[in-house]
Amino acid sequence: MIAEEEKQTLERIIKENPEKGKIQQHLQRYVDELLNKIIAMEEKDEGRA
Amino acid sequence: MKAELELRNIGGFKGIKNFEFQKGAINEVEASNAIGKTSLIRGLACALAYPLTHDEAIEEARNQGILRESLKNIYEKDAAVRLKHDGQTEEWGMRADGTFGLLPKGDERFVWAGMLTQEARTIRQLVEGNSDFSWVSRWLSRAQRYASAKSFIDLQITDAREKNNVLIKRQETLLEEDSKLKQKKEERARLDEEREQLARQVDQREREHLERMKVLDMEIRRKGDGISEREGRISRLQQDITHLEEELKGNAKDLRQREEELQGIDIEGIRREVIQKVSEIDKEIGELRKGVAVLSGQKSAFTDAKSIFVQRGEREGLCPICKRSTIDLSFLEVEISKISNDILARERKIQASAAERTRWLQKEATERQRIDKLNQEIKRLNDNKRGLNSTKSRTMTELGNLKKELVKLRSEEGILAEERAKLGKETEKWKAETLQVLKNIERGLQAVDREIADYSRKIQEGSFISLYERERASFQQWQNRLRELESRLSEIKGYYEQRQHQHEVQAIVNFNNNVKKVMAELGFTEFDQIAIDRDDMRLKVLRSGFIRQPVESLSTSEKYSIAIVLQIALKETYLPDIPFFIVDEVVVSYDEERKQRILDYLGEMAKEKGLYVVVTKLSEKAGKEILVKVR
Repeated sequence: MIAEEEKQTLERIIKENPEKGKIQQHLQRYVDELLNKIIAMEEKDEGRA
Repeated sequence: MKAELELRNIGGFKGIKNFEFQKGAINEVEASNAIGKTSLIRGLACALAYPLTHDEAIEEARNQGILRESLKNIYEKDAAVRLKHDGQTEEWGMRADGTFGLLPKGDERFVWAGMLTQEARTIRQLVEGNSDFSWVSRWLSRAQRYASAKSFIDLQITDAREKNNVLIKRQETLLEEDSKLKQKKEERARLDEEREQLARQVDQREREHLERMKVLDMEIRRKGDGISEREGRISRLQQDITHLEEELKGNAKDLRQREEELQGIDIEGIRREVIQKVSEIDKEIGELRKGVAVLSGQKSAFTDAKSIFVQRGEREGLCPICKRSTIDLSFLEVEISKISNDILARERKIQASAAERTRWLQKEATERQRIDKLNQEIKRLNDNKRGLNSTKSRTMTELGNLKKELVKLRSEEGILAEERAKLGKETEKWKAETLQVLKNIERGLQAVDREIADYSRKIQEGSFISLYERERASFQQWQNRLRELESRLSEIKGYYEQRQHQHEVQAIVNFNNNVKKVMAELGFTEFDQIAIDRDDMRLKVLRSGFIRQPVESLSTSEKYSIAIVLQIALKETYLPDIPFFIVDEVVVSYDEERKQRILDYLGEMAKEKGLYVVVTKLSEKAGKEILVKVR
């Protein structure tokens, strides 16, 4: 499930970027951050383990 | 307020062309054919539509001839458009090297919704009888952005899956390389075992060789010793033979001497001489004994006479011997002494003769003894000669045997030496061959070691991977991350899909409402409804009584009428903020009343919303010029 905060971020990307390239640019950044979070979470889990 | 358009080397124009448009009014662009109306419209559209970011917009721009590449005058090297309106400037330029300079901040949806030309999508579809208007909601509404976002996320999902597939393939490759590594390790162990076995064989063979060589050396030494011993013995025997021959010579000489000595002894002569001498001595002794006897008688006579004289006390008397002469006592005593001496002398002489006789008698015996002795010596010498000859013969036999043995030993020694040399050569050859094999194995081992190191390195390096320009991590980590990322991206995609659908539906609702409004205001009463069906996104044209008429069966003028309605609705629904609307000669297809109504509507719309409505118009009166008139 996507959290409300995340939905707002996703909507902001659409709203503020009419151009396809800009949308892709922002989404790319978003995906990068998402991956960073996944890696950080993984490291946190490993740290706990 | 006016908008200024400057075109440089656009379409049919060479050099710079300037145009002005009145805000809030219809600007009629009048010109004859082939003067540049289309170039003007396209140049203007270009300034308003660019940048084009979606493939569909680019495709649509190509269909309408407003791609930048096709806008440049074919005889010129560069081109540019500048549009000043409402305090802002939109411009783009194409350099001589084909690259693009400035880009305006337009809206690509202008290619669908900002202009109605013969090439416009609405006209094309209606002329073709194509009722699929799904592009309206898909490309003109915000649903398009969601679609772009969804499409991008979908690409990211595909990318994540492909990366996962890459991981799986690399894992398979790693497994294959691991299998190859195992094979190489087995091969190494096999080569190692082969090498060890060969080394053991070499050792064994070396030991055997050394032992055999030792045995051969011992044998050769033994033979050598035997030869030396035989040679020593032969030398000694030859010396013995020399000595024997010398002894034999000495013996022969002695024998000759003895035989000559023996032959030199005349035993019969000696015997005769002895007999003669003994006879002579015996005769002499007889004579002497006779004289002694006479003398002893005389002595006795004189001694008796003396004794008588003494007894008688006489000093003289008759000679007892001659009985006639007188003799005195002293005479007697002298005579007795003389006779005693004479007897003694004679007895001594007898003794000497007896001794001489004995000597003579002994001389024969001595000679005989000498002969015996010589004979004995000759016998001994002959015996010795025989013994020496026998010894020499034995020695010669022994020497012969030894020489034979020596020849045999030398031959055997030669055979052994040959065998030794052959064995040495064979061993050297085998050793060289084995060393070559060992070298080959070593080379094989080195090659396998290199491959093992290579595979190990590949496996080690390949077990960790860097994706998304992140630090290297294990396959498992990346698979987990990709799984999580894909899951999250799928959620986002689902969200954008849902939002796209919502916007599409809403966009169609808005569009249909605007179509209805435009239709009513234009007084298009021949249709009850023109709308895009929300279910199949197809254009629905309902005649009076709400009878649906297929698009392809509409007349050309109906299609153009519907097109202007749809185009105005598209503009109002999707591009309310773009202050331009272009209608290129399409309006000439309408009857005068409808044309007037449309132009009136557009005029009202321009006035009400502050638009620059640009309408082209074929006019032969304009000559070679393009006239822009405010209607």
